[in-house]
Amino acid sequence: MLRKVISVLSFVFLVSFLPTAANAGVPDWFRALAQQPAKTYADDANAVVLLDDHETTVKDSGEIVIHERIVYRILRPEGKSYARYPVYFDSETKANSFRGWSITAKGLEYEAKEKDAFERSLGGQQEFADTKEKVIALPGADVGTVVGFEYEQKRRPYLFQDYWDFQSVIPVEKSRYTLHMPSRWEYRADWLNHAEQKPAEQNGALVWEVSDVPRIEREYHEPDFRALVGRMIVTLFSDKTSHRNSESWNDLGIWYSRLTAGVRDPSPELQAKVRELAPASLPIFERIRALSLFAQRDVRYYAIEIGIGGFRPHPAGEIFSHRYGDCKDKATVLSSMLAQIGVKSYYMVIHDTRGIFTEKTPPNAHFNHVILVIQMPDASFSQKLPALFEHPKLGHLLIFDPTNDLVPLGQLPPYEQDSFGLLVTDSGGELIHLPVTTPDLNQIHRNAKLTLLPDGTLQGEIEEVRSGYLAMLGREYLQHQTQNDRKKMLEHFWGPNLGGFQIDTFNLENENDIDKDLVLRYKFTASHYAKSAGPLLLVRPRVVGEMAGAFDVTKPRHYAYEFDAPFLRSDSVEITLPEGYSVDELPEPAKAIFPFAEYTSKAEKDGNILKYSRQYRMQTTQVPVERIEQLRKLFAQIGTDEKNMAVLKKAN
Amino acid sequence: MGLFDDEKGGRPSFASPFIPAAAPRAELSVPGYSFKGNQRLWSNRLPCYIVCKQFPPLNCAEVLAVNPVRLLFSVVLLAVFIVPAQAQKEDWQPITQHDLEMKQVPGNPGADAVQLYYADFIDDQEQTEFFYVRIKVLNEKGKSHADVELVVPPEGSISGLKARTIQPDGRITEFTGKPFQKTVIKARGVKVLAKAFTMPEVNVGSIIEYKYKVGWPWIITDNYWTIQHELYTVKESFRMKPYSGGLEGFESGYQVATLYSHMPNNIKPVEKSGGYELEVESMPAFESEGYMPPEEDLKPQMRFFYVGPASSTPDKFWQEAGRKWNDEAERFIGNRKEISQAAAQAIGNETDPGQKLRKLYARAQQIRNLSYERERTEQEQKKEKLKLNQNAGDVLARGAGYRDDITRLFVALARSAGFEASIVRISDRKNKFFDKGLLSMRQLDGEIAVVNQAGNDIYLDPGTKFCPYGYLRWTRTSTMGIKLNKKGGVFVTAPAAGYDKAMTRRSAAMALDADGNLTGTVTVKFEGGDALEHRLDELNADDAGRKKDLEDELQGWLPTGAIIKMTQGEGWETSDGPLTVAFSVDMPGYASAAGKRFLLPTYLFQARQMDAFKHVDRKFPVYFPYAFAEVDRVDIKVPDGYTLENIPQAQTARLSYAAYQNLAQFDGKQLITQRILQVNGIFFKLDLYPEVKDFFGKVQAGDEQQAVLIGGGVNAQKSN
Repeated sequence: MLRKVISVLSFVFLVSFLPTAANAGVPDWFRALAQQPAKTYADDANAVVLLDDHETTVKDSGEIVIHERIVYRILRPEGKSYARYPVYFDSETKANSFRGWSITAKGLEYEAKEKDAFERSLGGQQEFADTKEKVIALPGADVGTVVGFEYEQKRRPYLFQDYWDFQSVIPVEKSRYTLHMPSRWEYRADWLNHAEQKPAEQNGALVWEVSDVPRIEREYHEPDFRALVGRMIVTLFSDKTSHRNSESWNDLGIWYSRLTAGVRDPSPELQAKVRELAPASLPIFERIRALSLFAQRDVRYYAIEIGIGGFRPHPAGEIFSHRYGDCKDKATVLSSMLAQIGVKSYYMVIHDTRGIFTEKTPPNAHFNHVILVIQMPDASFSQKLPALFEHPKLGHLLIFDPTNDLVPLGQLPPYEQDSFGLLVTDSGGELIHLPVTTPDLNQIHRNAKLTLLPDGTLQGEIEEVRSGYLAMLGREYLQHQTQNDRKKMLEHFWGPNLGGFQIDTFNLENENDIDKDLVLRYKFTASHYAKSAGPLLLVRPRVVGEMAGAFDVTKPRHYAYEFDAPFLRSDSVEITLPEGYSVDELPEPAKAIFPFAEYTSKAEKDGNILKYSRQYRMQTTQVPVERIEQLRKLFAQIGTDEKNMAVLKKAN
Repeated sequence: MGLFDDEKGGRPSFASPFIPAAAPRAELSVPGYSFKGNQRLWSNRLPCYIVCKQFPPLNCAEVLAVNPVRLLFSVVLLAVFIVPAQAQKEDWQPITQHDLEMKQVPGNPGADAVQLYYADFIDDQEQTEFFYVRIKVLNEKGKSHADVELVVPPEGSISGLKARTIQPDGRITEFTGKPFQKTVIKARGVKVLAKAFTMPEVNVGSIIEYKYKVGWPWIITDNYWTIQHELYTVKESFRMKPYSGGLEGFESGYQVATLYSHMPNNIKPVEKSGGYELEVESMPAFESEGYMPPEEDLKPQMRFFYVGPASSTPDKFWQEAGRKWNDEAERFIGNRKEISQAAAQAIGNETDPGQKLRKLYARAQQIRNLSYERERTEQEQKKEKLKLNQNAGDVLARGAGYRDDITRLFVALARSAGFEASIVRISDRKNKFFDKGLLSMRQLDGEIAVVNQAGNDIYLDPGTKFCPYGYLRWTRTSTMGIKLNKKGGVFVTAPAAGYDKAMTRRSAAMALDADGNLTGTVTVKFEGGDALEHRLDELNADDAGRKKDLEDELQGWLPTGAIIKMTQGEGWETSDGPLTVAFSVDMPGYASAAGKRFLLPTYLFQARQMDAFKHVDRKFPVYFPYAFAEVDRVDIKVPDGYTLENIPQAQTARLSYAAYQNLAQFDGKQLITQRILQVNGIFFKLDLYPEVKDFFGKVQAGDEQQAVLIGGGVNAQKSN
């Protein structure tokens, strides 16, 4: 018998993911929407939501059925992606009756049914989850086409809340939320980033509706999109205790505390490791540090989330044995280890993006991260730790994120500073404001000793010392690169500012010792750095570093401007002048002082040395929109100072 | 509405998206199936590759061929004697002291991991491919290699998966779990799954290793070994055992041929026991560079092809392919009355042959070019009444066609007007240079036209939307093709395009104010190939999209902080003439103050190529897509009361293939800078890199010159 010969590529071509689209059975409600007159929007609005009709039906059993219709008009080529719509499903969530339709600008109609959808698993490279999505990609995806989708989702939620997201990156003409509840159920509606509206009663259901909701626009360093959008959180209660787990932060704390009961029980191997890593002979802080470092570095990040595993950590013994886990697993294994040395710790559930949870956020579980709060024994630490706060009942609490292996015990990653997290205690939970560091704790200081040659070549050494979150960013950027790549990265980074820039030698100090400042030293040569102009030599004393942030002055600003964390950046540059040259003119000093930041600089002559120093101190994580004009001025002044040149003149 | 990406409209979870510093490995992508270097599971190349020893292929490739009779005997022998040995090779390899002690990659300190051993054993007799990967983790980032995802080919299987972690002290932890099953894609009868697992107890210094066998219900006719990986590899073993039974489509017999090229240290695969073996040591990781030739032409490769007797030599192969293409093209072109009428109508009263040809070219380009529109489903094609054209008459009647339809229509029009016109089946050098020895018909994947006019061959590309008359798109220049004829055709090389075929002319009319701010207009004219590339890039963009893209492009040429607004754009929808774009530009603080002086960069723009030529060392030749020129003029009106203390000297640089000139003049009111950069070549060998680097260094130095203004009361730096 002849064996089949096949090229695999032909298989690839067999996979055409667009639906075959049977004869279009476009429903009247959809056709009516498509035929309504098109409104005018900004020329960079990619699409518009014509209708988002979200209907939630709560059953007495606790099952929640979502029925949604959503219709878009594609306004720009970039909006064609709206012709592709995903519906999520997993072991606890079923997606049914999924359909879609499109009507092109020329009136051609298409329909796609559930059988036309394709499925795929969700999750990235370092995770496995049982979550999937069904996706319908509609034909006719062109500018002017109206696309619509309808589906039903049955959920058996762990937490009894529903979300109505009525604002997006595109305008929304109409969004409606309808709630059907059994008689013994109650609800609470909380509004975020939008004025509260009262529902109308229609046939026993509650209906909320908003119209002409503007889009959220993209701006440089704006707060996270999710911190800006209008949404309504519906919390559902019934007289059954298990259905009252989201009413308050305390309820959520109790729920999580119960969910995680027992997972921190140690295994004998874990206990043995604690004895090895943190012997009683060490001071208590060093013992805590040793165990923290273990959780950071020796437990590799890999998330396995099946069913309730999205919330519940794996048992500490299992995590320890495998030496991998996700954020809550890392927190769990560390908590278990700390308990072995008599140190109590608590889960803190947070979002890894600042601004999504604020002091005004109603109780809800849209967190995505778990860290640990360590109850520090009295006299266990001698210095003021940036991540420490005093709790009225629990005393000294040190917040620590074992998932981030670049931030040492005692500090917080910048994205968690000034944020809010749910502290889960044995008796419940409370929303806690996470501390913010001061600028002095987050520094970059550059010290440059340089020599200028008569042909304009600049050479010498720069030492850059980074602390706090700026050390974290430096490590993130450089730590895991090869020496060759580091060199290329530095040349790429500084090259545009420094003419023919080449790194001669460089070294990185303390790259793995996260408790110490990160020190980068490099010797370089930059040909053509100073520009010759007849008898003059023009030299920019600032040399390296651009401190002004990105800012679009052509459009009005809508939102606050975000910084990672407060910081202090300073430069100290000494340039030895070529023989025979003297300073003829120096740039004016800069001084820009605002309530949230200040920038100063000074250039001076000291014999045959040109000295330049500057300091930029940012006091806050966010400049509110009311002060944006001041921020613009600050950036403009920094930009001007950075371009300024000194004029050197050759003696006759 | 799916606002919250991390919540995906469904179950929220507490799993931090912050992944510690370890960068993700190359990802599986769907659709299109790309794979991690170590885990290629099936070929994504088309069949019909063959290289035979009778005809040495180009580009340093070397060839071996297998006698099918000998192969059959070999396979029998293999079954008796070799199989046990093969099985032994699939055992865990011994862990050497060298493995345990290795801490750095030779010549590349700081590498995250090293591949100590890699094996790929293709066994077409069994219809399996065995993989073995042993990696040592050298730093925190290297731990990511412990996360493994293996794609199961459709209708195929993965079996015998075993994995383990070896600690620096030699302790072994077996992976005892069950891999997770991920749905890569499931749609209408197609289901692609992946097996995902992560290794236990992995730390810096750990060795991780896993092995598995992929099985297929078919024979892969075009398989290959991956010799260079994302990691430095200490030792690699490759085996290939061909199939020996009857194959569908090869009823007259077949043979297995191989192609290898760019092999390190000139090592060669060994023909052994009817198959092939290769041992490689110390293979560095592949690292790309800016402006380098296509990767495929640099990486070592070893390919295997099952081929029939009709393809026994490259000449035979291409002749046969040419004949097929010619038959198909001639059938399409035909000799139709309606074509003659259309040609006559297009030509009108024109008598000049050159002008006639231009008119016919323009007529062909009026056809709606479906190759540049999004792909349509069968249903859409039906509703939009889009049918496949069977001949040139169809193209004319329907007014729509794909790129080759339009090229063939043009040839038909030209012939009917009395021109000697032919189709050239041409290669595309965007991703790979043409290799005559690599007998894949897919290498010649497009058609252009050649017309003989007054004894000269004129190459034309009417099938490329907006391609001007007399031009070819750069991907089709300086590359080989077959000029088709009844016998198959003859190889030709499409002409190179000089720098004058892709010019960018920029002019700036600016005024400096007494605070050092510069305002004015910048006009950019893209000509020839540059205009074509911009037109094609923006084909599917709307006005807002074009505006943003061009503003971004200008932003990339100007200093940071420039405020740019595109005010005009002309010439988007035509093949001829330049694409002209005008901008208003505002550059606050452009001139820097130093006491009583203003220091003024005389030239606004920055050279695009600078970043790629900063580094002293380079591994690969320099390769520009096409030759180009920039011709610029910058006029800066200085503020009243100022005069020039110093004007930069003229700068020039010249190589046999590149030239640069920058000349500034002051007329009492305006500073006028004229600058020309010409690069008249595309490929520069590695030994030319120092002079290329030096040339562009001079360009940068010339472009960054400053004029010194004096007068007025300069005080740009003010406190708030």
